[in-house]
Amino acid sequence: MTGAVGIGTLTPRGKRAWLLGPALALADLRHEWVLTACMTLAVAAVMTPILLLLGLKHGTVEAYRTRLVQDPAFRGLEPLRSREYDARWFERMAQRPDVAYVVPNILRGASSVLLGRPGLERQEFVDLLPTTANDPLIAANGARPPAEGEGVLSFAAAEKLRAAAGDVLEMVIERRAGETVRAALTVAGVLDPRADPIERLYVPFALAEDIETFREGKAVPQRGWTGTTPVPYPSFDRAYLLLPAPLSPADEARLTLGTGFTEGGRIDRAELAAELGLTVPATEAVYRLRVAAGAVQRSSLGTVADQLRGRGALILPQADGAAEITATSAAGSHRHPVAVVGLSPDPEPAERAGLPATPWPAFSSRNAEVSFPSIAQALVPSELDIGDAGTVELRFGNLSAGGSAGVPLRVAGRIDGDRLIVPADLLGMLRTGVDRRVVYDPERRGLVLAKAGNRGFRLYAATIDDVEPLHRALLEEGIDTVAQLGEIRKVAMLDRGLTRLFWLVAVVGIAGGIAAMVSSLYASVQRKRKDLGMMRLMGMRQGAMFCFPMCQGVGIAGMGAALALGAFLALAHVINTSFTLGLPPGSSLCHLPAGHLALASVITVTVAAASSFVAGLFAIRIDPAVALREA
Amino acid sequence: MHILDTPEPAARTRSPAAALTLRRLVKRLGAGRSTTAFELHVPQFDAHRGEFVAIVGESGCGKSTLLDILALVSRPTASDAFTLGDPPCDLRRIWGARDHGRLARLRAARFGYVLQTGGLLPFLTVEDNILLPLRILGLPPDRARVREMAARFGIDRELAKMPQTLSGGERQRAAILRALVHDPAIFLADEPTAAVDRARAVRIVADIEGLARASGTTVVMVTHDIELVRGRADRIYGFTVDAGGDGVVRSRCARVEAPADRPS
Repeated sequence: MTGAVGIGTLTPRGKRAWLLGPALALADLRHEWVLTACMTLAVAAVMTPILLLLGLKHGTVEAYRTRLVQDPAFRGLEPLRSREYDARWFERMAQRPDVAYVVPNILRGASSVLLGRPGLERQEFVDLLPTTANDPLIAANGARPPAEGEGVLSFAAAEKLRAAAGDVLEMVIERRAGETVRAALTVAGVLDPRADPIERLYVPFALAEDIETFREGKAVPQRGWTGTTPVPYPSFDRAYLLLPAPLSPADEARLTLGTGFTEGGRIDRAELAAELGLTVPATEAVYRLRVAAGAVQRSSLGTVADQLRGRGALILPQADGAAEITATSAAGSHRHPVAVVGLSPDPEPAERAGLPATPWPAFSSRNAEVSFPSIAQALVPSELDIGDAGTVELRFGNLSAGGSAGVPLRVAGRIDGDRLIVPADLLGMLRTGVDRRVVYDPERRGLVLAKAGNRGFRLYAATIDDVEPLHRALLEEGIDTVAQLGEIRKVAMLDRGLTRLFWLVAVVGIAGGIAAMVSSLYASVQRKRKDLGMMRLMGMRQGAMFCFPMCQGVGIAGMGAALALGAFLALAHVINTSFTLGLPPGSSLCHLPAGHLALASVITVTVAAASSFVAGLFAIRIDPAVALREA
Repeated sequence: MHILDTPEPAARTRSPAAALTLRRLVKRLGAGRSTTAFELHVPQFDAHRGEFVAIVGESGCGKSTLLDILALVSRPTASDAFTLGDPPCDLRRIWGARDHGRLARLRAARFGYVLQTGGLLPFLTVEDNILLPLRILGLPPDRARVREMAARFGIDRELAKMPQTLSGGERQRAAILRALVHDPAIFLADEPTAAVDRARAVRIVADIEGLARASGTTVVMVTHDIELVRGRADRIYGFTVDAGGDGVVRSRCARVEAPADRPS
């Protein structure tokens, strides 16, 4: 052996020097394996119940949530009161990101139909709901959307009717006593029991709407169901009055009092000529009545007529809107934009005012019974080239947005000037098409007022968390809805309650764990004072000294965490296999995602490292002299 | 059994190089709850390279206080000089700077310690215990050399065992081996014979003396039994205790002129 080690070797910094602390710490853990096992068990004993509790909380809440999320019934919102919703409302709703699906509903009173097997006496009342493709209630409950002529039954309905998918049933729709129609319906599927507790029939939207129409007393021609046909009422924006003598100021003022018109006054006959293309004698007093917003109907004109009774007044109601006519003849098709004027005056005052003769009934402010063919006529300006066409097709309204449907009009004659002259009733009916849907029914050869909108809806939020905000948003629109808010709140409460409980237990457990860990490591450092002092005396660095309890803490925590994870997985398996009742398939009562488990382990080791920090500080403060003292 | 069978006289013939030098050193300890105030005075202490120096005294004489200072774990209150090695390393300055890292490195590199009961770490095998100084220094573990040295010490079959399974003598030999494995300049032994019987104690001291002679390592041995070191130590330091009237116990450490040729 040679002499002293040189100064140069006093500061070795090899890789091995770094590992010394951990290596010694682990050697000590291995040497005192009984104590190590005890501490590992202590850590696992703290962590396992916390993991189990967290797993139960997570699993229970998740299972319940899954049930709510999977089951569209919990995401559904239905209006409390019936009200009309137009197509734009449905479009707007469907576009909301928090709305998964919305379908119009028919009037509650119209939704009850009789269903039974054809030829059998036994028939049952079922409630009818319209559905379309992508209906989550249908899709999530084991059925496919019904096609035309098909229906989907709720479980209760299928049970009552003893019907299964593929069966052909007969649907009986009754209007008034004795007035019934029948339709064959193939069962496309039967929903799961949870979908709908009552006897229900889901049919394509078109059929439901037709049933509603029939129930309202109207005809459904495409199904051969008879009934009345709603004819559009006429509505107007303006009216011109022609009087043989001017009105007193008081009478003039009365024209806008309770008549529906909001402004009015006398105008020059030149203005009349400019606005209607009609020239009247200078003896005529001309008044113009207007509405600031909206339109007036026949009754308003009746009120004005009553006020002017006996004065020989001519009332010329008019509508604002662009028009174009299409004339199809052997020479080809001609399209002409044209200004349209409604003119159905009584013959006698018309003659007085020099108005062109009109070959159609005069406009009555009272009688709504007008035969459509008698008003499907027009006087076409002679300057328009319509070839030898006997009819022209008129479209009216906002033409850039499509306007009304084309209405075929008989060419009753040609006329000077540039205005197309039509019956006032026709113009008024077309004007109604600006606000409501007015369609031309070629079969009936008449205008039909289509349904304005739907009386209800069935809506599904995208997630259960969207239900409550959606409910509030609809309430702000004045639409009170029924939703499973109670159930959803219950889950939130369960979640909150269990979270609180979990934290309570976890905090107590973790505090106990920290106390146990700190005291164990501290006691261990105390017990090893002499050995640690010897290590200090031998010149071990502070870092390595600090590492010693630190590594032990982390090592024990790591083993404890691994043990706890193993115990948790085993116990969770036992719990999940013993309690499977009342849980939706695929969900478990006790479950934690891998991320949670990893996080729990990391937290345990971090807490252990923090706990052993104290012990580490104590270890580096040990006086190396204790090694020399305590024999 | 002797540690080294063939002592080399080389150390003695060379001109003495300083290993540890103390001049006018004072260590003051304040009064504790059960202890009175204490002052240790060391006017002059020298240990040269390859020398066997013994510090002898009863308990309470300041022997432990001096050992702490020599072991670089206790800070002298005052001193004119406190150096290690040749060329001298100024320990006064290092203590003054409170450079504990440097002190730890000096302890690791320049000292080998043997305590009363050996001071082996119970959680390491004998071999790992012996290799520990090398690992602390970041040096590669020279297992072959350890095996060879252990064979000479007669504990080669004990290397894989845990310390608590060894006898007191074997443990002490393992501790000595550990204190030597990194070729320290100073071998510090604190009552290394406390745990063994007289015959064994004599043999251990002989081994330690032989070691100093053979390797040029400076041996500083603390003992309460002057008979063990008489005739073997190159220098013996003793203590004169004076319980002063002012409530302060003063102890003076000085060289004892021991008759070197007196048989032990």
